[in-house]
Amino acid sequence: MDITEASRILMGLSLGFHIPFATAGVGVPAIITLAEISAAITKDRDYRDLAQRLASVFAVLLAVGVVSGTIVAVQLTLLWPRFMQLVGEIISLPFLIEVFAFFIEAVFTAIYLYGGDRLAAWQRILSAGLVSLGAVASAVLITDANAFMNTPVGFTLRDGHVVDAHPWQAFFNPAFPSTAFHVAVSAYMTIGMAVAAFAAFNLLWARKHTRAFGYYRKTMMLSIAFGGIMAIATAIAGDLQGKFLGGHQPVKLAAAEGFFHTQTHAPMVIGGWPDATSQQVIGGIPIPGLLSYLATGSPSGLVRGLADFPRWQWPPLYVHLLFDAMVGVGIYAIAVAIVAWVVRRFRRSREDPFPHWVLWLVVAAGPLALLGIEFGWVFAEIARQPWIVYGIMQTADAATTNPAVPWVGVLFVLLYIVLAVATIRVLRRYLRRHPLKDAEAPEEQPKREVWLP
Amino acid sequence: MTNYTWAGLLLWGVILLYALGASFDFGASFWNWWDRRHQEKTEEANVAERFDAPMWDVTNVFLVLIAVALVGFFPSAARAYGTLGLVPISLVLILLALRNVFLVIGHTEPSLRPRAIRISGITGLLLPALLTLVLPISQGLGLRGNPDAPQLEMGLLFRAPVTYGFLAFGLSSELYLSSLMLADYARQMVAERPFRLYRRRALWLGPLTFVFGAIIWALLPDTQAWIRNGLITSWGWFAASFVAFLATGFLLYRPTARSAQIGEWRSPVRWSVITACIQFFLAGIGYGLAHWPYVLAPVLTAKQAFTSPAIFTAALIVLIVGMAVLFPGFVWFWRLFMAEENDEGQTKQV
Repeated sequence: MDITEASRILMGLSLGFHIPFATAGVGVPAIITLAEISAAITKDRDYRDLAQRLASVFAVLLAVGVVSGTIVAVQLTLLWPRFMQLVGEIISLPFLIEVFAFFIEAVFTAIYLYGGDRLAAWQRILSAGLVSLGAVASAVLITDANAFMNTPVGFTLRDGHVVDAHPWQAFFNPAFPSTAFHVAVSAYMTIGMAVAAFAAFNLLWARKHTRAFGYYRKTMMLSIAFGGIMAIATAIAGDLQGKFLGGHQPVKLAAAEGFFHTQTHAPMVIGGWPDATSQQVIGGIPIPGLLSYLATGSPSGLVRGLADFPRWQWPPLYVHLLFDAMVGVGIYAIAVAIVAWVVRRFRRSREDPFPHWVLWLVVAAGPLALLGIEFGWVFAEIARQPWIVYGIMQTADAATTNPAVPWVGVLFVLLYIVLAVATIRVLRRYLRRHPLKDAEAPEEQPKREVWLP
Repeated sequence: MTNYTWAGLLLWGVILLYALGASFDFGASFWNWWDRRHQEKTEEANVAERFDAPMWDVTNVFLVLIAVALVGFFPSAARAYGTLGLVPISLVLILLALRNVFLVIGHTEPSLRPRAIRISGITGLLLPALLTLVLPISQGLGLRGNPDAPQLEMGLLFRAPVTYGFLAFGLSSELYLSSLMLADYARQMVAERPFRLYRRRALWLGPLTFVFGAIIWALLPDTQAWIRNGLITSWGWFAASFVAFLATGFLLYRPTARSAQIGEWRSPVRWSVITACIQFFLAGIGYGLAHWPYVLAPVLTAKQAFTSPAIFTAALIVLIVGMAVLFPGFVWFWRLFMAEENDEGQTKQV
């Protein structure tokens, strides 16, 4: 096997494994913080239990996230030595600051977990909030390095080495704001939907007027409200991203949309298969002017097509489907949250506000949202090809020359299987050992539940 | 001192700190597993396990900091080590992943605890061994091919006798340092029997480590004359390290060092942990100076591998500001949250 291809496969596997855990690392502490705040406001024991149970799950997910993140960080150097040399010469700052952000996250996770009920409510809120802050800062900083790969600025390249380096200019590169915003809110959306899906699934089987039923209802309402709001924020971020791509990486946007010929009033084609020989999308539903709006902010704007670029600079054309799948998941998440909101408004049953069909829609949103995150990242990486650093360094030139990549890759695949199985087993056993008992129900039912306006 | 000397000193300092912390961490999980193989030693194992629980996250941060600092300060060195070290470093990553995940899983799920102890114990021996191999590799043992694109040949590395000297030294230092530290930890918990066992272990592991250090010196091949000369030049550091080693022995043989009942800083055992750390730090500096200016001998010097001055300045500022803000903040919060809890605990007892 070609070493470059093997390196790409291994890197893709490692990132694909890391992404759900990294997303949980950002999203779960945010929901823990919200649950702690809700517990403080409503004095409802259920919210405190939610925070506690999520924290136990979080400890395991964080451990897997930390080790897979360490693997990804070191593997970048092992598989792409030339690339990491460039990183070291210009964009090492986000990695360095990330170590500190992660340190904050680790320390306050320890305080929150070991402190437990001995901490006062405000201390729990503060430490969970700082875990959350450290986590989102980590994600934003690592995303910054990825943003640099899309819009490398702040240096001149001479004989393969960086000269005239401006590290802060590279740090605040043009892709950074919109990409970081997009990554952060989509992580919140995904975990909001995942927790809501888990709660909805349990609601389907729980008996009414039990402790568990009330607990899962409150969990679902809190997390889908959060996930829904963040889904809308993700749509706004996606719109910003589209305009950014239109300006800075037109070839990536054109590949995302399967858009071949430069024109004004460009339509957006939903679905379909982009065909390179006939230079058009086969099938699919065109929506007039929408692509121009996404790229430029005006339905009559000029959008550049793939035909403007030499063929070797084209990313693989299947990224169009990844892009559409990602957008589809986002729209589905917004729709589910709105449906839940409308149904509860009209049904007016406090104990049982959601009929089964709504619950099933929510159950589907969890796995879909996780898939959406994967689609989004695969799209972001594949649609940058053939570049590892856009316009500066090609992926094939950055790869290692060490011939051992394929069988090292086999070892990593085995590791990921072991870790995935162990994680699922330990979480299942934890939930089985900690059932929600009616005896532990709060004596006095609090009046308020956290929900949208 | 030039910029790249500062960068090298900083990086080497972080590596030495990690070596100490990792010795405690890996050693504790090894002893935990080792002593649990015998029914009658569970008390000793419990001491090791209690120490091990909250440690791994902090040591992992230091490991990542080493990788990030190497990339940030010496990008060409990162490239060289990345290309050469694919196999050994991947093995480290895989074992480290298993170890850390199972440590956490063992805490969440009691039924998986025996497996977690076994995995963390065995990796607590394999990982330091693999990490120690970085030293002979960085000295150029096992390198082949032209200097611009050297290749690492494992056969060549393992045919050099000195490699085994490094392995023996690395493992015995790990076990020595962790025994000493666990002796002090047992003393803090006033656990008399574990205290005695760990102190006894430290007493024979210390001299053994010293012997292995001397064996490395004896086994250095003639091709490594450059580092032998360097080691002779920095003899002062090793002499100081030897004094610290003698001080550790002296402290451990004090009459008051035989009981776990002596509290905190009045106990010579507590001080012996500090002198042992000083001993390794001084020897580490001496070795680092002998190794200088190579980051990967004989193909890459620190000067060649150094990043641009602008990056260095920015990275240094970030490091200093980060440390200055984080560590005091960390201590303040820990006191604020954990001390209050202690106060409450005491009032309840009254």
